[in-house]
Amino acid sequence: MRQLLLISVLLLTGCATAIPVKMSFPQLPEALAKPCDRLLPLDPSKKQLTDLLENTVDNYAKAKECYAKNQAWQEWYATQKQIYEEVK
Amino acid sequence: MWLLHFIPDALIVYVINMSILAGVAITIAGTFLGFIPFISRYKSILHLVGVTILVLGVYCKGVFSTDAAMREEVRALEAKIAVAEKKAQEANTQVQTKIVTKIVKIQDKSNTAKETLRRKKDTINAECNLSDDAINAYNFSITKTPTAETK
Repeated sequence: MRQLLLISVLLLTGCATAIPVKMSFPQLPEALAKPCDRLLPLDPSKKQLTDLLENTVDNYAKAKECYAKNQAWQEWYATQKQIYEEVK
Repeated sequence: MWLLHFIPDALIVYVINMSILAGVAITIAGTFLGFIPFISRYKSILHLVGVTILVLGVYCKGVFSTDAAMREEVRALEAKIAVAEKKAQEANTQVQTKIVTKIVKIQDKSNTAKETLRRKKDTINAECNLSDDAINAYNFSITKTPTAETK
């Protein structure tokens, strides 16, 4: 009994608790927080070919911006995920 | 318990170690002193006191070691998080700069194209005017709702 008591003494330890440290969620870059612009239809009163082409050029620019934003989103996510994995 | 944070760690460790040593010493002393006839009647009391001090000392040692290990872990994790947050901020700045540069380039290109169109407007429009059908069909591909013509 006495030996058992001595062995149990050696096994005594304090209780561990959860570590009170939190990592804040990374802020999204300002440029990515804005949604993509909508494509603009052609004004029906503008009937010249150049009007159509100008409108198309505008819309291409909007689509390209949206594509660039999408790529940036993916890059941002991959980078932030990698940083998070390094801390874990 | 929080009051312990005001006491230096070295002092706490010293007290805990001393109590363990005292517990062991009293328990051993109780065993050997039991052979002396006059003192043998205090043997049980010495054992009880010795084991109690030893148990308390070992328990406190365990608590303190765990607490110290946890504090160390917290410190390490906080340092890691600080580095990660700095990295995240840098990555954000990098992404922001990259996207803004790209958007500026896209807009520049678009403006150059539009300037060319305006400059050569007369040549381009010379023999071509868009019909309503053409405009409706074009707008149909862009807008959510179809126009009356394309329904």
